[in-house]
Amino acid sequence: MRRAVTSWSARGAAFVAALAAVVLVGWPGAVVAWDVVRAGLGGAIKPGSAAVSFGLLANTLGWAGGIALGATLAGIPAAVWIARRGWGGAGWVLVPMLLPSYLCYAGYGLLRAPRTMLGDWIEQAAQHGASWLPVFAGRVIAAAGLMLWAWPLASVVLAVGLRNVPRDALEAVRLDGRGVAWRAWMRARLLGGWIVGAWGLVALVMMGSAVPLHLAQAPTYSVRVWFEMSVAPGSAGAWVSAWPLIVLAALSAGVIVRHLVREPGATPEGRLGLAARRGAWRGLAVMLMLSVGVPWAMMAWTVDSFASLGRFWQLSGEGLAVSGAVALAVGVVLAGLAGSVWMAAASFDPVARRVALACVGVMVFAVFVPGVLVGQATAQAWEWNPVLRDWPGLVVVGHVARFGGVAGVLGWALARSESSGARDARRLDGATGGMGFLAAVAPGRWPACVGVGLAGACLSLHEIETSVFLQVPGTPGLAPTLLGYLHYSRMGDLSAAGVWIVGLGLAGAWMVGVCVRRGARRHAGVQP
Amino acid sequence: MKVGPACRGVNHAARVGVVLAALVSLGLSSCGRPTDAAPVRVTRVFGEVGMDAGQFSYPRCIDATDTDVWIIDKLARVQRLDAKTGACLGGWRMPEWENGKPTGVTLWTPPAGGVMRVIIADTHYHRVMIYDPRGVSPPERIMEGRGDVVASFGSYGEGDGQFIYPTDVAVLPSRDGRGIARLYVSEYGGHDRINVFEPAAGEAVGDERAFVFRFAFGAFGSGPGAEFNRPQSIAIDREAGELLVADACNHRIGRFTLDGTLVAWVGHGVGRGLGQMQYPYGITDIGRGRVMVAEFGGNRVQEFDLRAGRAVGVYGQAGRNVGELASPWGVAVSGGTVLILDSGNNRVQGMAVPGGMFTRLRDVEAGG
Repeated sequence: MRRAVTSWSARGAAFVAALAAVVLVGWPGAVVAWDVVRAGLGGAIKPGSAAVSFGLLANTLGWAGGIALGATLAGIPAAVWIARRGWGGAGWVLVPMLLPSYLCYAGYGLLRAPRTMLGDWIEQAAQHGASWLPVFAGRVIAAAGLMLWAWPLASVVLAVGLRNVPRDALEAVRLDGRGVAWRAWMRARLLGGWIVGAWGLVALVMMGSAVPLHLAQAPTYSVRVWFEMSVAPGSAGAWVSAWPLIVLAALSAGVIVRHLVREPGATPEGRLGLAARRGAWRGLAVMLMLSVGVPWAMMAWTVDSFASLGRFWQLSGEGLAVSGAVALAVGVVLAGLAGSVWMAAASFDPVARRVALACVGVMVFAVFVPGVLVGQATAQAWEWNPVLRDWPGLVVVGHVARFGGVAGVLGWALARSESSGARDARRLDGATGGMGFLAAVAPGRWPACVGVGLAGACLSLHEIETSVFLQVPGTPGLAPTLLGYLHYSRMGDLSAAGVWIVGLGLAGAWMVGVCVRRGARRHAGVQP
Repeated sequence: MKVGPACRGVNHAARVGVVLAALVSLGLSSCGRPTDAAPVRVTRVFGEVGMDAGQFSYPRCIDATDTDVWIIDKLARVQRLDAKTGACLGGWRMPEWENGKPTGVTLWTPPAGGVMRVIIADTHYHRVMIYDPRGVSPPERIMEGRGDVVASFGSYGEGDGQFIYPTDVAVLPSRDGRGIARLYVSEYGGHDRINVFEPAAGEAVGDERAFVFRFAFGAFGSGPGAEFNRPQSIAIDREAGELLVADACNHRIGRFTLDGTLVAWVGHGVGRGLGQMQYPYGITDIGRGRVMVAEFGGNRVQEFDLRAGRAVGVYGQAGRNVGELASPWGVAVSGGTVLILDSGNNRVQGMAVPGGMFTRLRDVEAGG
């Protein structure tokens, strides 16, 4: 029978996590709920605001499901590669997700710019009756672009699945004399739940307010909510109309939390054949080229001149600096948040663990809520104060609220990755407090916290949706600047920006990869 | 328990974290706004975000008479408002908007009297549309109204009379002041130039409904000659008889003769200093060779003396308070007031014309 051990340092860490959850999610949620209730009682909400449009819902599910399907298929090579090589190379797999979600949309959109063959053909066709064609083309590019951005998420889930499949089963499939198609089908059956999980996770992310969908005016719930918030910021009616998305986010958080508390099973490494390794590497390279290399090359090709590359710093340097400072702050907070959850979850104090899990659930909920709603809620929660209203730090608060769940999940996963033998040895050794955690658990793994901080910083740098309602109008920021380039067809400036941003993003991804690699090393020295 | 290298490593990380946090705090606290601009001395403010009449959803173009102001926003609504109070007097919605919304509106009334025309550069539909404002729908029916189209010309392409993305229109009245002598249409999209149209009927007789392409000038580029990179807004300097071009992505203002010969470029490149610009999107003539330029990227309005070739005043800074601006797309003059289209704040702010405004001289005649 396990004996609980009270640890005040663990409870302190749990308190930090709880404070973050309350300040970042709980308080804004309460303010919004109160505003809606008050408006409802005052009759300010139009009847029918809560009515679900089934057509819109079907469209939303279709968009999200379709993009997720493409991303899941595209993520297979990377998943196989990670399963064989280990998590050390995951940093490179994550590169597309550390770059703007609209990078591919912008890059491939150049193919249909005016004065290109495709662009001219589309416009001419539109003038001769096919008026739907330009919007349709935009939506196709938006969907493809998001698929090329989101496949790393699917590959991570699939890789976990591949590493959980019993080795013997995989070996039996490999040795079977039947054809490639049969072997692929059998592997898919073995991975069934993980495939559905990968698809579901990407679909949930795509239910949010992705910028390419906004630009392409895709008929989804999130895009409609974004529009309603933009013409009536904070209106109770807009919040009420978003209830399906909020409910979905809550359900998703519940599923994730249930998965987190499941007892980990045996984790044999699935061994894959040599042919699979080579094929996976090639497939991964192709996906990285399509997701990063090709858009970058197209932007580089369409830069007006070398002078425009320098002009990027004149025009956007201040915005980049501000956004960089925000991203750095977000990264630092997320790293700390991951560490707090990790310390609390790794403790033997059931109170600390339960509080940490609850906080993770709350913050994961915010991850699945569309970014525009997170930003608007944060704005409503703090803009009553005239000082806070114009404080640039409010953007940091919003971004941490948006991505805090990622840090929380990582912290929890780090705690769960400690082997039961090591954990028992730690208990017997008396290393149950904060110092014990720092001495026995953290070494060798703490770079993973730094990694999630860096990843969070990259996500923050490119985050537009959350910033839209938080940033003081007109103040410098990288994401609003780039959104302006996209919205108003300043393609020359966008291409120059894209060249720099991808380069900086690759540097950031390299650092994340280093941290992930170091954090993936097994903790040495404490073995049963 | 021995605190070994592991804890030292964590301590080191903690120190690094403290330094980073300090740097970040310093960075955020010093993210102030430029204070070299004079505040906008606001004489009137109207508009707010919304879908009701008199409200805006990211307005992008403006023009005004002494009594009316016309604004088009991202809901594709063309609204006519009272220039003093901002009360909506009616409007309509563009016939198509899915591909994008207009970015230029020009009001023109024949100097010798006659019916006003509302001329719209329907950017993403590659055309210019001319409306009779008497077809305006009442405020409560703007979204259903489609206006009274008098003329429409243009199609996608690079040929004569074709546009990629037309941005603005400037009108040169006829000698007798009864009609239109020329329409100048700016466009961008890789084939950046100024197109010149004249009435198909030849001699202007008023209420023209058909226009033919005559010539175009300019090319895409950033050179010292007649090259443009997104000529977002154009206007005619009536006193000097020149065409003024806000060359947005080259961050400069061009002075051209009415036949397209470059006179001079005004501006000292991209930046925040006096005379520098960041995406000049709107331009309006305020008399005595001076213009007001709305800078989308600079979040301010600059006053230029074109004859001297220099800036003489800069107003506003980024923000949401009254007197502050957010991505202003346009500027117009109504009576003695400069109306600034404060797009990012979904409103219009008015300031007195600096130095007052001279009575307009008679309009420059074609060929004069």
